Amino acid sequence: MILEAREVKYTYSDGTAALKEVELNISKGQFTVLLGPNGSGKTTLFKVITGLIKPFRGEVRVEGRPFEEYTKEEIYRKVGFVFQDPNDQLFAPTVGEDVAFGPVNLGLSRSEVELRVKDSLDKVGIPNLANKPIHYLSYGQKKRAAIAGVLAMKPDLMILDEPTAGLDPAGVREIMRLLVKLNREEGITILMATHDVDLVPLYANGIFVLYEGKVVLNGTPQEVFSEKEIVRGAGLRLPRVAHLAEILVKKDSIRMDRLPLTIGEARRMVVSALKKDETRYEK
Amino acid sequence: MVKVQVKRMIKESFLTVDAIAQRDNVFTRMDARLKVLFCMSILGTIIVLPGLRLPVSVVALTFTAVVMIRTPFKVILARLVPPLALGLIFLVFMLLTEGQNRLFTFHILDIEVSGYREGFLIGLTILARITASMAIVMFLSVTTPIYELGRALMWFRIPEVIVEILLLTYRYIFVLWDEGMRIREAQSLRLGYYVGSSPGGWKRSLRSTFTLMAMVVIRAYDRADHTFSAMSLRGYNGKLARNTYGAWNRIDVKSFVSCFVLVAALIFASL
Repeated sequence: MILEAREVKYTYSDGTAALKEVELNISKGQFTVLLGPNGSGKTTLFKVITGLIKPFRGEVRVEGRPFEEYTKEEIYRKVGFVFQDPNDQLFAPTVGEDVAFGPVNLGLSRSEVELRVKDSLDKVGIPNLANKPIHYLSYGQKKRAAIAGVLAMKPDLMILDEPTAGLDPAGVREIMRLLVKLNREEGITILMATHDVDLVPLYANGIFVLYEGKVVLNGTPQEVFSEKEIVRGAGLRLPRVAHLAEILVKKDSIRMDRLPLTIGEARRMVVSALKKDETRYEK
Repeated sequence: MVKVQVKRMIKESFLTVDAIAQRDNVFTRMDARLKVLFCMSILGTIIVLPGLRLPVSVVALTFTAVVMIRTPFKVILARLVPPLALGLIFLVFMLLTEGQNRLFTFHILDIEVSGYREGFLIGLTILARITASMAIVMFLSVTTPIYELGRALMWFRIPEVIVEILLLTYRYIFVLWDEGMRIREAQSLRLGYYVGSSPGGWKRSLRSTFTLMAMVVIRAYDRADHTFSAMSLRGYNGKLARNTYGAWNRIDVKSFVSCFVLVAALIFASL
C-alpha cells in the first residue's frame, strides 16, 4: 500500500465534523477516484493525507510508515498535491519559474532543475510556455502548468482535487488522458477527487465514495455502481449509460448479465440483446 | 464624462504595459540588468544636473524609443497625465509665488496676480524633470517584464523580501483585479451602482464600493492561505525568487558600452 488512512477524524473549529473515521487504502500504481458530492469532505481528506492539516484522531501511513516519521522533504518527494484552482498553486511570475520552485527547494543543481522543468513541461504538453507569464495562460494551460509543478518533484503518488472542474469537454478529455499517461507510463499512483460519475468508469481502477465525512463504499467501478441505492443515497448518481441500461432492463425487459458503465459495454449489451431477439423471432 | 474616460485609460494602461513588455523587439531582448543600470543612471543625472537640456533630450529619446516599439499613444498619454498634472500645478504655484522680475500681471476681483520669471524657470525645470523621470520609467516598464526586472533587482542585491513581494504582487494583482471586476459586475447587475436622479444613489454606490473592497481583501487573504499551502507542499524554505543570471555575454557587453557612451554624451551635451 502506498497510502493508508486509519480512522481519520477531523472537525473544524465551527464544530463541523468533516471527516468521521475515514478508512482509505491505495495500492501502488492504481488510478483511484474519490467520489463524493460537494461538502462530503474530499478536500479536507486530501489536506489531511498531504499533511497540510493534522487529524484529530487516526493515522496516515505512506508506504507503511506513519506520516510523522517522514521529514517534510521526504514526504513531498513522495506525495504531490494539485489544487482545484490552479491560481492558488501557480505563484511564480512565469511557468518555468513555477515548475522550478519545487526542485530548487529540494536543493538540486541548476542543470538538474532545468532538466526537470523541461521534462515536466514536455510531459504535460506545454514545452513552449516556459517563459510565459501565468496570467496569460488559459484555464486548461494553468491546470497543466500546476500538474507540471508537482511532476517536477517526481512524486510516487499524485493527489488531484477535482482536476477537471471548470474545463470544457475537450479540456476534461485532455487532462484525463494526461493523468492516465502519467499513471501507465510513469508509474505514478493517481488519487483524484471528482463528482463527475461519468468519468470514473473510463479511467479508474478503484473508487472510494465519501459521504458526510465517511467512506460509504469502495471497490472497482463495477462493484461500486452495482450498489445503486448507496450511490444515490450518497448524493451521487449512476453513470448516464448505466442509468439507461437500468431503464432498458426495467421497462423494455432487456436482459443483461452486468451493469454497463461505458458506451462500449452498453453497445455490446444492446447488440447482444438485439441478436437474441432476432434469433427468437426467426425460430 | 472626460474624467471617467481618463480614469479608465489610466487603469487600462497599467494592464497594457505588461502586454507590451512581453513583445519581442530590440529593447525587450536587451539584458534587464543593463536597462535598470541605464535608467537609474539617467534618473540620477536628471535629478543632480541643472538645466533643461538633459531632461528635454531624455524625453525626446525615450519617446522616440517607445514610439519605435509601437507603444499605443493612449498608453503613453495615460502614463504621463498624472505626473504632468502634478508638474503643471507646481509650475503655476512657482510662477505665481517665486521671484521678483514680473512677467505679467492681471486682476481677479480686485486682487493683483503676478507671474515671475524666476518662478517660471524653477517650475519649468521641475516639470521637465518630472516628465523626463516618468518617461524613463515608462521606457523601462514597456521594455522589461516585471519578472525580469525582479531578477535584475536581485542581481543588484536588492533585499530578496522586496523582490519577492514585487513578484507576488505582479502574479496576484491580475487575479485580484479579475475577482474585483467580477464582484463589481455582479453588484452592477443588481443596481449596486445606481446612476440616476435618486438622491440616495451615491450612498448606494459608496456602500457597494466598500463591500467590494472588503470582499477583495477577504479573498486575497483566502488566496494567500491556499498559496502558502501550495508552497509548503513543494518544500518552501523561505526563498521564493532566485537569481538566474549567468555571466554577461558579448552582446550585453557591447550594449553596456553603447549605453555608457549614450549617458556620457547626454551629460556632456547638457553641460
